[in-house]
Order: sequence, then structure tokens, then C-alpha cells
Amino acid sequence: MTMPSTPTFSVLRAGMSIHGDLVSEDGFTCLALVTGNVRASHGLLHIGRGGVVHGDVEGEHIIIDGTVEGDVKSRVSLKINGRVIGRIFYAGTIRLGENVTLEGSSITRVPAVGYVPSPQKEDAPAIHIDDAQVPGTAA
Amino acid sequence: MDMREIEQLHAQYAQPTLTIDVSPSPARSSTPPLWLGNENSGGFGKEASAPAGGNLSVPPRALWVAVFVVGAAAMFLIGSSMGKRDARTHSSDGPAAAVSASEAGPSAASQAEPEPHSHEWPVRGDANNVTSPASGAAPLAAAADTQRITLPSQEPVKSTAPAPKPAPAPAAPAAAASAPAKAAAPVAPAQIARPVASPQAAPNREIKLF
Repeated sequence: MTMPSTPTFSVLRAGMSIHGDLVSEDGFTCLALVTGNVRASHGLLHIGRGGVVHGDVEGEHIIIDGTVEGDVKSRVSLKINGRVIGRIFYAGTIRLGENVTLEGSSITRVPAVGYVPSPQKEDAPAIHIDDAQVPGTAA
Repeated sequence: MDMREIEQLHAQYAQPTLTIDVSPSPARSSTPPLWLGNENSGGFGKEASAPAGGNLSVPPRALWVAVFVVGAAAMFLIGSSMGKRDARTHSSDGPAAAVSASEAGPSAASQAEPEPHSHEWPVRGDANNVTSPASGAAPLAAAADTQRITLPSQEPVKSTAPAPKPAPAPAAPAAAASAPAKAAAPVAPAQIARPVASPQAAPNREIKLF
């Protein structure tokens, strides 16, 4: 039963554990433990509270309320209100919530989707936030 | 977070995003922009400035052609004017040079010297002729102009006036001689009337008439 008004999305409920990469055409919410890379082509990629991803996360819109141990690449918008251990690349806007935790992370704004910056540029303009909790938002 | 909140969250982000492509299109990249602002402008700015750039892509060639044509015309006019000027200088100097070249003798060269002073009036040669007292009759044009020219014309009158004066001296014996002749010869009434009009009075009358 599909409703035209409701968006198409998937939910990985808590208590699940997935070993391998996840690729979704539409958005999904991850409340489970994923060991691998997670990618969503369209919609929202939501790492909910209690969700853990050991790998890279890439999506159009990304909301991280759980834990990500890997690189995060957002094409349009990125909102982090959880814990990220890895590099952060975003091409649109970024918002940091009250409960954000960034460990050894570098935040880099990239000009376009799929842009892979060179290591020199990656280090130079990056904002390094080490073991600090940054409350509030930034755009 | 229950399913209802998750559903609302996905519904919020499910809307298609508005994408503005800032990369230059290949059709417009073929014509290079004429100003730097075109590169930095966004999609809307490019749309607004694209027609102006399209119109301006053609004029530079026409502009260069027009500039070239105008420059060529200016060079032609300058060259033609210089040629005319040279032709005039050659035409003015040519005959004199030709005369001096053809007449190798020094006399011809001396005759050719007054030519440069031909613009003076009266001509030096004529002025010398007028001022010379030897010539009794001055040219009409020279006599009417300057005092140097009229002065010699008055001198003959003075010189002619005293000329009759010595005549009375010998006239005394002549009159004495003629007196008996007059007394001897009967005087005609016509001859008596004629001496009233003396020969000196006649020219005076003529001058008055003039």
C-alpha cells in the first residue's frame, strides 16, 4: 500500500547488524549497526540515535544523530548532532547541533558533487576541530 | 523517535532540490566573454548577459574592418594631398629652373634674376627707368603714383620756362629792328587781333580746359 503523498524511504531498525555496503535510491533511516559504506542517491540519509556506521556515508541530505566512523560526504545539506570520527565534505550547507562530537575531523566545503579535493587543498582551508564539542549551528 | 517523526523528516527532505548549474555551457563557451564579470556571474546573470555577449561577439570584427577602412582612407587622403603639394611646388619652380637650365649664358641668368622680384610693384627695372632724369617722358602709371616719378616731369617745365627768357635779351635789338618794320608795313586788323592771343596764353587756356 503506497500513498502518493508520503515519501519513499526505508528503515533499518535497531537490533539489526549489516556487514557490507548499502546503496539506496531513495532515503532511509539507519538505527542499526552497519559495517560498510552507506550511500543514498536521493532523499534523506538519516543515521538515527543509536545507529552506528563503520564506513563512509554519502548522500544528498544527511542527518547524523548517531555515530559515524568514516568520511561523510553531503551533496546538499548536512546536519550533525551526533558523533563523527572522520573527514567531513559538504557542498551545500552544514549545521552542527548541540550534541555534536567531532573527533579528528576536518570539515571541508567542496564546490560540487563528487568533487575530490587534492590533499594540499584539503588540508589548507579545512577547519580542524579536535576533541571539542561545538554547540550551535554554522552555515 | 517514532515512525511518525521519521516519516515527517523524510517528507521534509523528499522535495526535489532546486539546482542551479554554474558551469559554463559549451554553446556559450565558444564565444569568449568580453568582460571578466561574465565568468563569475551565476546562471541567472549569465542568462541576462548572454544576449549582450552574443551581440558583442560580431561587432569586434566589423569594428576592426571599419577601423582598417578608415585608416586606409585617411592614408590615401594624406598621400594625395602630399602629392598635390609636391606637384604644385614642382610646377612653380619648374619653368624657372627649365629656363635657367636651357639658357646657359650669364646674360640669360641676369635676365632671369628679376623673376623672383616680379611680385614687387613697380618693378625695379621700371623704377630705375622712371627715376632717371634723362628720360623726359615718364610712364603714365609711374607718373601718377609716386613723387619720385612726378619730380622729373616738373623739371622739364622749369627748364622750358627759362628758355624763353634769354629770348627777350636779343629781342630788344630785334624789337628795335622790327619797330621800323612794323612802322613801315601796314598792320592788318586780323594781325592786330592775333597778338592778343599770345602763344603762351594758348597753352594756358588749353590747360584750363583740361
